[in-house]
Amino acid sequence: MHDNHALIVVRGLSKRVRGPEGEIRILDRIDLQVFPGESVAIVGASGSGKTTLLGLLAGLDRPSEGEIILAGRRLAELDEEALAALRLAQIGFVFQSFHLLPHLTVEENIALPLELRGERDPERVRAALASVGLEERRRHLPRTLSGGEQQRAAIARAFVTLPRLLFADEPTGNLDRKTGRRVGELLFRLNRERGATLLLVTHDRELASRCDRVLALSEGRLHSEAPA
Amino acid sequence: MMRTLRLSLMGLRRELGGLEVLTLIAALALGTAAMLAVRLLGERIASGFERDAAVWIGGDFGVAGRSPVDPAWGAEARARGLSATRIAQFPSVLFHDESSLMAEIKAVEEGYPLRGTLLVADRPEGPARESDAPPRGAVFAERRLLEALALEIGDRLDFAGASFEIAGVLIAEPDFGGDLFQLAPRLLLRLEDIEDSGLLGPGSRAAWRLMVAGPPEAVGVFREWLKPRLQSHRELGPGDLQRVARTASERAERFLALAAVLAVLFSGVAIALAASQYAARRKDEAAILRCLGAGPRRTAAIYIARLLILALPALLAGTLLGIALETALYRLLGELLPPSPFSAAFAPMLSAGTVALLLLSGFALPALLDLAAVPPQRVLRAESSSPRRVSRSLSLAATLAAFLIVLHSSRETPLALQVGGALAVLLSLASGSGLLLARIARAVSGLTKGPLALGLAALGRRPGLLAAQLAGLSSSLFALLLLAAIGPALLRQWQQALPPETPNWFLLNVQPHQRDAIESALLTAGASSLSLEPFATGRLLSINGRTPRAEDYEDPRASTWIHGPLNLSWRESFPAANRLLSGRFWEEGERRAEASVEKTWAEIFGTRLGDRYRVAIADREYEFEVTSLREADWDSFRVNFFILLHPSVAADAPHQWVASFHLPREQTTALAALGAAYPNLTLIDVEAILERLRATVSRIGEAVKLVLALGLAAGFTVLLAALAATRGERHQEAALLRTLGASRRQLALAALVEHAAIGLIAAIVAAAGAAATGVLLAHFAFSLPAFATPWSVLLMAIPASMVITILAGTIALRGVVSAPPALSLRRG
Repeated sequence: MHDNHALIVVRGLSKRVRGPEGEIRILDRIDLQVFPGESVAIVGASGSGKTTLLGLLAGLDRPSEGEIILAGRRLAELDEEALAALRLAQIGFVFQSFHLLPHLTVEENIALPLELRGERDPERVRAALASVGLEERRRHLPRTLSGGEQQRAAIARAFVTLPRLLFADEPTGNLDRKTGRRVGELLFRLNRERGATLLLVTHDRELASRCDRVLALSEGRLHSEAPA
Repeated sequence: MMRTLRLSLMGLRRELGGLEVLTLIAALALGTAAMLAVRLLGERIASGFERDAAVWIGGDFGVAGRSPVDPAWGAEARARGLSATRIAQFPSVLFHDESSLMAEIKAVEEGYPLRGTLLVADRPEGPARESDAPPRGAVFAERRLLEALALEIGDRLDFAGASFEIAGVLIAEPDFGGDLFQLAPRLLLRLEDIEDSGLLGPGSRAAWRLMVAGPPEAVGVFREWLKPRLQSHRELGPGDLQRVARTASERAERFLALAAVLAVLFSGVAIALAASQYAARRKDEAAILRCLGAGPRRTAAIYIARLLILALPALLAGTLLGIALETALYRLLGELLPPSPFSAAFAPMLSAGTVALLLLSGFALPALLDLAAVPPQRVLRAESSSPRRVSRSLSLAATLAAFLIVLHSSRETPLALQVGGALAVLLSLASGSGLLLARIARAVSGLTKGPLALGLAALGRRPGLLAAQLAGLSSSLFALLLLAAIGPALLRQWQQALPPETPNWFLLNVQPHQRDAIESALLTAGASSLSLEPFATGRLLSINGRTPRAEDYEDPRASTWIHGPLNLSWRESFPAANRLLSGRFWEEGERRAEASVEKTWAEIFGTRLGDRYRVAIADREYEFEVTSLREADWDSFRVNFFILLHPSVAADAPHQWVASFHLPREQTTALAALGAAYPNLTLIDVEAILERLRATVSRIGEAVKLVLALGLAAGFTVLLAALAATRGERHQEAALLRTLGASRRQLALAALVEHAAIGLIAAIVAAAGAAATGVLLAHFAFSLPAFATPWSVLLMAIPASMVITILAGTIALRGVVSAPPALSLRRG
């Protein structure tokens, strides 16, 4: 497919950081295209640069070299405010350590992206709660939930704005195998239902295998892997 | 806007229980309360002082000058519903039969006195009664005038081409003003009787005043009307008050301002600590918000709005507390202030509100703005940190701005600068000691083992945190010591400035040949603190060869001394209740034409060492060089002179002696005998003034203690904030050590070593800082050079601080030491 149709276009992306023993090249001239509705898994060993790549694609960090075009916008041309606006409009996030706000209830955490957009839609929040099976827990604070429940709440928060893109960073990394599997199923089900594009960073080969494409990151370069 | 507000409100209720939020609210409330209470009270004191001043100067408003007051001004005031009286005062020689006497004539209009009470007696030893101005054709005369001229009540006195009846003995006028022993005997009569006599015409030495009294608004309007018409006249102000009352009042205001400035500054430190802790705990939250789509501006707006929402209950509590405190202070000050109902004056409220907002923006905002700079990638990597350069310079600027406003609001700039400067030095010292301690601990920990090594390693691990912790602890201890030890010691010192032996009598008109006999009579009668000083009345002729002109000097008092009599004294040794500021006071045996000038005079005339003065005493002229400048303690109730001469300069000039001494009440009969033996003497009883001043000092002391208590509470919030700031860190670290196999005992001992070291260094820095600040304040703010640093209290603070720090640290770690490590780690 042509670049014009891609939701994410990456060209010659590099990231270098300065370490105690000199400069380290984490990502080395990466090219990538992700198309709407596609699910892409990025796998690799610890320290291979998976999370760095995710951060760069989501506009959370700036590359040393190269270009990223996300939903038709060149990220390099956007300032912090514009990047935040882009994330708010287009992207949902699911993190390994859930990142729910500790002082907000489950319901308030899910409503947070809507509030940031200036929308008040209790119906949509209730629907999101129902979609992850947390209606009964809606008034609970995150610290009173199990890890699996917290990740389900985080998934509901990610989908509540119906984002075009979902970035998931090791979404099952903090969960036991059984809970991880359930959370994975929920993530893929909702992604299918909402028609979002999924970019998944994971160690979990089983979870990665559910994606349309699996890309392996090693020594800073991205290689295609055949789905299992 | 509403979106941001809603986001700020989300979850806020659940944040309220947090220690840092409570500290922030408490500190802000205390700072607001202290500033509001002192400003409200300041307004009341100012209005009380104005009322007092009204009594001292004899009206609500007045103008004075050397030229006659236009009668149209008084007519205009009366037309506006005000009462008004013109007063002319001038020296004149009075004659009766063969006797003559230099007297101070005071001519007043009907309606005098406008404020206060005029007391006269119907016979010299008779009881005093309240009176109006004398009727036309009559005079009230001081007893010593009657005695000197051998006049009695009912006799007639010829003066200014007219004959007056002696209608009463003048006991006291409300607008006595001036200094106690500088006045010739007074004669009070009606201005209308002498206005056409030529005594008050051009070239006369009369000082004119127009006094006005009435409703404050009407007085204000009249004042505005009069202002553009004033040319050679000036407004009367607090500078015209009796000096003793002025010094007491100024010092009282300074004490209150000190207490308030301390409370506000320490509230600021507590707010800064609490806010940085609040911000540190919300970095992850800010990163999540940034990641979910809140831009830096929105993130900042959310936290600023949250801060303002948190400030509302604090401001409300602070306002209520401030009003309650002011009411309590007002009750404590009691009769020192005129009865005035509490009025929620707008200016103090606005001022306290401004200070509170500046405290927030100066001390809390920088930490919160850091949150807007938290990089969103922190959601992926917790170690990502924000660039701090911008927020640091912002923090510095905002803190400086807040400090400057506090300075301005306290109206005591040098005082606040001293305390603020001391605090800044202390914070630098404490931080420096923290960094040094960390370095030493790192170097030494390898040489030790067991809990000692663990404790030292903990100290050496994070120098930045240790420096911040020491700065917080030292400043809070500094606040506590300053308020609990230095403040009360300064107060005690002030109260001791009026010991029981303070002179309560002045004796004037002692002739040189009577001096020795009177001295021995007084000592026999049991007088103590006796001091006899010679004094001559002269005229100022020139300064450095130039004739001084009143218009060359800004201070209106210059005119009084240029045109009026100048009191000069001489002595061999440096006078008591004085402090040498510069130059060198002569020693016995030296013989030079030199003089020592008091600070007030030197400031008014711009006098410097080496200046040459020429004065005339009677028909002789004397020239001398200024060789020292000194500061007199005017509320010591000792006889003080602006210009002291070397005895060789003027000892041969015609002079009298003035005595001040203390004599117990029950021995005053001895003075009656002295008066009978030497009828020319004038005795002035200042016991009543002394008592009033003692009562003032004591009541103000109580009031200051109350404001100090508020400062103390602010100091405690700093302590709380300082300890809370590191609790999370210690919790996490102790849990990790437990996980790695450290026993509870080892952990407890390691914590003991760490906290004891922190407590010791914080206490040493704080005690040294408090002692130095105490000396600084005593010398430069309160003029109490004899201040004795309360070393015992300061030294006791060192073990106390160690115990407090150890206890607080132990309490903070109690949970983690006893709980399973995994649980602690999850909670941490």
